Amino acid sequence: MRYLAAFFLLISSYASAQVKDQALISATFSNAGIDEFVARIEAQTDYHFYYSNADFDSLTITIKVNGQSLREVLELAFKGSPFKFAIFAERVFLSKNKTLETELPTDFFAVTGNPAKAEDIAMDKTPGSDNKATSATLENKLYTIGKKTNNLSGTATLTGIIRSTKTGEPVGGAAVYIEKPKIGTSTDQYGYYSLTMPKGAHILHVREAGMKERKHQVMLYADGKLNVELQEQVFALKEVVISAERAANVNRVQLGVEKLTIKNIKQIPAVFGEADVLKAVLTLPGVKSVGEASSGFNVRGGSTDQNLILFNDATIYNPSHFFGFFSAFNPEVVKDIELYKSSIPSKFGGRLASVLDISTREGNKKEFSGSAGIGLLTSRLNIEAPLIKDRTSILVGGRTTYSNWMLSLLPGEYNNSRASFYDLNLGLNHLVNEKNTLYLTTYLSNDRFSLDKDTSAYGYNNKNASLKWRHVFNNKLTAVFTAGQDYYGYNVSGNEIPATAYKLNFNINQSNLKSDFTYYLSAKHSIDFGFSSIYYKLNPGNYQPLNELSLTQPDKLDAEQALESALYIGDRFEVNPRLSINYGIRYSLYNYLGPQQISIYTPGTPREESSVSGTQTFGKGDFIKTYQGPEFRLSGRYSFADDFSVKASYNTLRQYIHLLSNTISIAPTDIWKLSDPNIRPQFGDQVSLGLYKNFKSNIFETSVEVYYKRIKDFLDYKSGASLVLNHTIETEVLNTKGKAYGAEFLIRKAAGKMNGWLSYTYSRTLLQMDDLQAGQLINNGEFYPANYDKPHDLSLISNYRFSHRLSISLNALYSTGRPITLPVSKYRYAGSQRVLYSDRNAFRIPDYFRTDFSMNIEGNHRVKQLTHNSWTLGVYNLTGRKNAYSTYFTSENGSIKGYQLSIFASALPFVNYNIRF
Amino acid sequence: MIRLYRLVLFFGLVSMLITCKQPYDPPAVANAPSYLVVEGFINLNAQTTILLSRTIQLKDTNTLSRESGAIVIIEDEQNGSFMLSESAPGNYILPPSNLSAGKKYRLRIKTGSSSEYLSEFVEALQTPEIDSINFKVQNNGVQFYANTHDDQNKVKYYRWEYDETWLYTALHNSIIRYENSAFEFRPANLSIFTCWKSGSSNSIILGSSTNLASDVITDNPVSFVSAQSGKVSFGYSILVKQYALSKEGFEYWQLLKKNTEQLGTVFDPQPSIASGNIRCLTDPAEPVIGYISASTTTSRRQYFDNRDFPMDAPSYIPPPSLDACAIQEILISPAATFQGRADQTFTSGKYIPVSPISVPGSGIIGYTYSLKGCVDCREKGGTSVKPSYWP
Repeated sequence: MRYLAAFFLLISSYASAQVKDQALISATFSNAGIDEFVARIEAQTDYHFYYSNADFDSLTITIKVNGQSLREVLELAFKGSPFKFAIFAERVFLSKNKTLETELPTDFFAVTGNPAKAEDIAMDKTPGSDNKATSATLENKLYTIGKKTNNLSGTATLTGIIRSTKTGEPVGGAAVYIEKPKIGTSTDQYGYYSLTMPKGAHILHVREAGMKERKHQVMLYADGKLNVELQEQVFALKEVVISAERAANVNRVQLGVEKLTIKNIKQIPAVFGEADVLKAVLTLPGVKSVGEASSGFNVRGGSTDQNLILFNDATIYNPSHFFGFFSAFNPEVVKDIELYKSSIPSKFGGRLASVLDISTREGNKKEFSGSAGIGLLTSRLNIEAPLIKDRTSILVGGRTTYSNWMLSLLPGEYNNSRASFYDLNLGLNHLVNEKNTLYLTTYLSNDRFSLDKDTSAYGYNNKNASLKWRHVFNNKLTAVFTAGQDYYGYNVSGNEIPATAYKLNFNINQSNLKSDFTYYLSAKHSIDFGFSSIYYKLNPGNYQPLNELSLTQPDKLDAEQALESALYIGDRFEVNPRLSINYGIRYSLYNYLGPQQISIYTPGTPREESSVSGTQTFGKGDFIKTYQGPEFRLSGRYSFADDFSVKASYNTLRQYIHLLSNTISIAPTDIWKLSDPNIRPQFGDQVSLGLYKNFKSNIFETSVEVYYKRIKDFLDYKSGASLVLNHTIETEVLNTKGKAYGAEFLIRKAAGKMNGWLSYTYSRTLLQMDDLQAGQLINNGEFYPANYDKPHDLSLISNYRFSHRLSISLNALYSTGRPITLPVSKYRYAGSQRVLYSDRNAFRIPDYFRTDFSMNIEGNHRVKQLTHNSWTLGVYNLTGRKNAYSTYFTSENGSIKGYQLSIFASALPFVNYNIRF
Repeated sequence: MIRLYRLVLFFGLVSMLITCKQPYDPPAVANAPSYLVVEGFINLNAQTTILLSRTIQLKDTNTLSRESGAIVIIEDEQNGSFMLSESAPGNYILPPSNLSAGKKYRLRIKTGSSSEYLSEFVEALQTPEIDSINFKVQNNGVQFYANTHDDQNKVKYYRWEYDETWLYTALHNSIIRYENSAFEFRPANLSIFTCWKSGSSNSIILGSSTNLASDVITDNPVSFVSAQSGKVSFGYSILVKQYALSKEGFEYWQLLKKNTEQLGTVFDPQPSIASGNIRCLTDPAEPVIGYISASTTTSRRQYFDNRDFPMDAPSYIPPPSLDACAIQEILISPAATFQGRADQTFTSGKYIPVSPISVPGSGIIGYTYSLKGCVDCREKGGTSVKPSYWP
């Protein structure tokens, strides 16, 4: 009966519930029964006790207390006994074996019709004592982790998964922390967190961009699990900038890390109106490209091939469609991107300049949903659905173009040109049980081009598949095992003249195997370790007659094989709340494998075809050449205040695969080349320092980062280098030294109606070729600017939200023109007219400036409706400025004339219709 | 080779759809300074010819700006000097002098604008003889090769130039001419049916034997003559001139070749400036184009008959078209107007008579004629005088 009474009281007082055990008790009990004990405490305090006499008839209490709180007195009294207590407002409930829950259980309203369940309210489920994780959904509820003990000394580890309430997808990068003492972590990409903190009562905060922040009261007795579900902000427009990441810029140990969610990306106006992942990356400080419609991007003075582009852990070799007009990633599928510019975690390697980590969503585990968009040139569709509710989900995304109408506007002989591209994403993920999750992701992109129906055709594609198995060994150790296969290839064919009809193929295959472990050693140390291995098989070129009529001589370069392996270990060490250090080492080992024929060059002479002194033949599986070495990754943060920190980092990296391209941007026929005995791997190191200060409760974020970088054995090209189907490619490349330095300034307003960022970068990238042995010097062996050296770069990205339904965005971008080598005059020599060129990259094309405008109009915001839709309208290059993309010179009637080519040389309006269901 | 340029051009055009092309005339190009260009070498065993010129603006339609009035001197290491004389504007010559292999020479130039230039000392090299010139028929043409070797294993780097002469004919063989308003048989030595035309190499031809144990050059490509060019239809004579180079000289020429002969489209690789061994003393920052070397020179002439080349080479390349070259007739009858008609046809020189039209029994009743370009082989730039070296 008393249970029942307690229950009703509990409900009636729920609204004003608060613990008030401030009154202090002084008393001496000697073999006191429960009635005596209760009576004396009730006399000293306002508390009223509820209990069952029958349960307590065996209890005798012998304690002496002096000025202690009720809680302490009760703990002392019941120590070592099966008796429990619960304090609620001024009421104390005593029970045997099971503690009375003083707050409503999670599923209370769902089960009110079931009295048997209601009885469980008083049951102590001791979450975490078995392997079942508790799901925290109610904020005011106190979650008890572990079996209750009186011993609250020491620490315990709380782990769990943060998921989205709506879709059941894990939320990566969410901040999970307690305030007192300051201990925090962020979830990994699978939403997993592990937080070691002192035992006792805590308020656990969970924050993530675009999600409602949650606070949970947690009573931590022992190691345990607590899953938290986050609700999305109802309006997509409401929290447009990374509010949950606020202060993250200051607190994160790494520097030079930029994270953009798809919401940020969708705000940035893009040409043709479709949100573009890569173009958004270009607005970040320290990221540049050589020009409009170029596939690659340059990070802190790195070349385009020095970026590791990972799409769900799959390496993407060509990240664009249509030669760079569109990026190859479907914006409906992408969840977020992270760009590492200087502190590159030790689990990544193989490229010198940056890692661009693009993750897609996992798919809705709760219900069928999807989105679609229709634009002037492209359309896209994304569908996700649970296969088994809360356990298995599938995500399918696709995108295609219908740009042929545009090509038919081309002049004369080209208006029969046809272009098409598509990309497909398929993602499956299955929660086997609490400890095991499986992920299958595949990606396919395909581009085709033909000049005329039957003449020349050009195509390229990416194919990627990966299978991941995430396993939780225990609440300290988790691991992810990944196996994947990546492919990139292109083919060109031409049969304008039947006698010379040809086809040319290039492709690269890589098989990856890796395992990444995270060991949450203690509150201060998280250890990451693992290994990875990549087997490359590269077909550098195969030139064949197209059909029997063709007289083309076949020419095939031998396939290349190599194995790149790495072992790494890194520690995230929180020395104290102010000082954190991440340090790690990665040891990479590269083997160039047979079968292969290697040209040997006469020592002491420049590498020319004429200086080949012989060849050496290696058999299948032979280790032809091995390169290896350690890579160091260090970064540290010191917080002077909650909103002010200083960070520093030092990194070394090695790169074994190179893109050979002597044109200004990624071109159709660029080839990748593996390091071999004649082409050394590239080596780079970077030191950087950053200051981070937030103002006005983290509404304004400011930062300054400076860096200095050295690059060894960067590949540049001899003049007139021919790279396609070259059997002695090493005779065309030069190993140069590079240095890059710069300062990046960023002001970001993260919240409010008006938000956005302003970034300014000053940077230089200089190369030097001073090895006489290698052949011709470039610019007499002095430093010369790299092709993408653009010292001044200013970006303004702004967004103004008029209402939940209407927002406008305005971009303004300025940068110094790209360096070029100009023909300056002409002369007659050795029987011919010849052109005199300036020093390499001695001049610059005119400066670049562009502004874009876009407007987002959302439909109504009722949460429950069949579809949500929105319109995006805008104008690309609002001022119509004719920015030079490239310059070229042609001979006309004996005189040589220069022209500049501009792409998107006038204001380009666009419209897009988006639908979400 | 691979016809990728069309694809590249296409890419450019796709861009151009949303693109605009504007003249680009940066100040650096429009106001480019004019630099001295020094061409030639110090010839130990024949006349030395140094051609001085200046670079000109890209948009200039002239081809050559000669540097006249300079003082050009060859100096040796023993303070000896040899002054060249200007034989034609910009052309400075020195007759064979007491210059010998093994010694070092340099070139000093003082221009009219009192700028002074000096080359580095270069070692005078002895060029070995050309062993042979051979050929292969390939790619619908003839590839000629030079072969040489240096017994002393010293030279290793070579450059070649060549002069070529070929025999060709007009379409119609004119056996008569119209002189002083009368037809007469053309004297054999004034035939305009057979001509010889000459040309010179206009690309840089290099070779080296550095990767070989001994200094032997085998089958170094010198000249490729396409069957369609008409040069190998009857007879072809090639004079190959060989020059020994130092390693530095070889590298200069190679860079010049790559920078100026293998470029030309929008997507070309980045060229770089080629700096030679001549410096400006008055302004060390001023670039000078050219590389001075010193050597003897050897040459070899070889004649090839068209029967040497087992391939089809068209014997005649019509100037305008075969239709325009049709044979026309002028008949004597009506005789009253014949003289007037003949004068009108032939005095302008537009047409040339080919042969008389004779009918058995009636004798000559008229003459055939055709366009000058189809009859007079000299119209295509050759000479009808047989060269002395022609067999």
